[in-house]
Amino acid sequence: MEAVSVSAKLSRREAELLERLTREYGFISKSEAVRSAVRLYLNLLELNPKDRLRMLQLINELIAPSAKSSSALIEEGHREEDEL
Amino acid sequence: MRLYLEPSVLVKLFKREPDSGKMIELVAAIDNRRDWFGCTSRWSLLEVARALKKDGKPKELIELNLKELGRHKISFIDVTRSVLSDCQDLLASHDIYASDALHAATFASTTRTKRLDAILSDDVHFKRLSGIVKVLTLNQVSAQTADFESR
Repeated sequence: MEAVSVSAKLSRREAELLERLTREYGFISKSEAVRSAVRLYLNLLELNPKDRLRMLQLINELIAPSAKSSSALIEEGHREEDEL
Repeated sequence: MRLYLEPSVLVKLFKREPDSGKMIELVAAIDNRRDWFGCTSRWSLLEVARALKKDGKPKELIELNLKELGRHKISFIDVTRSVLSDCQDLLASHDIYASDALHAATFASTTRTKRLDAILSDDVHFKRLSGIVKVLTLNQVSAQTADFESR
């Protein structure tokens, strides 16, 4: 298999997180952890549109859960504009 | 069905709410069925981004969500001088937010060429515009989809 190297700059915080998660999840190297993350992300983007939206909904909910409704969030934005 | 998608229903795509599954089905209909069409103003992307930010979503996730919106067959209508002028007229004659006037004006302008059926919204204050634009909710549209499928 022909391999292509791609480099990426990370912030200090991201580099530390990568270091920690590589250890915790037992990846053989940080490169292997990054490869796995990239493959997972690309697999998500390649899902069929309906499944991709469902997965994205779950990811949104897991990363930043919130009880506010869509309607309430838009309404808050409108009120902000009104106060300007 | 040919619909203008108001931001409150677009945000549902990225939240788990009782009727957010219906919104995914609706976007699938826009993507796959020739008798369905969906559009919104480019301004909606900013409203969706602001709503997601207020909801605590991180930058990368907001960017991913906005890119996802661009991957479907939803048309994004430019904010033109003509739309802004119509928007001013609406604001002068109705007690509505500027953003709502922008959506109503964009809907009215787009329907001349794209024959839109209604604005899809769950925003209650859109009822104030009922004399100017036809507003439908997700439940009403889902019911019509069910009627179509049962025929």
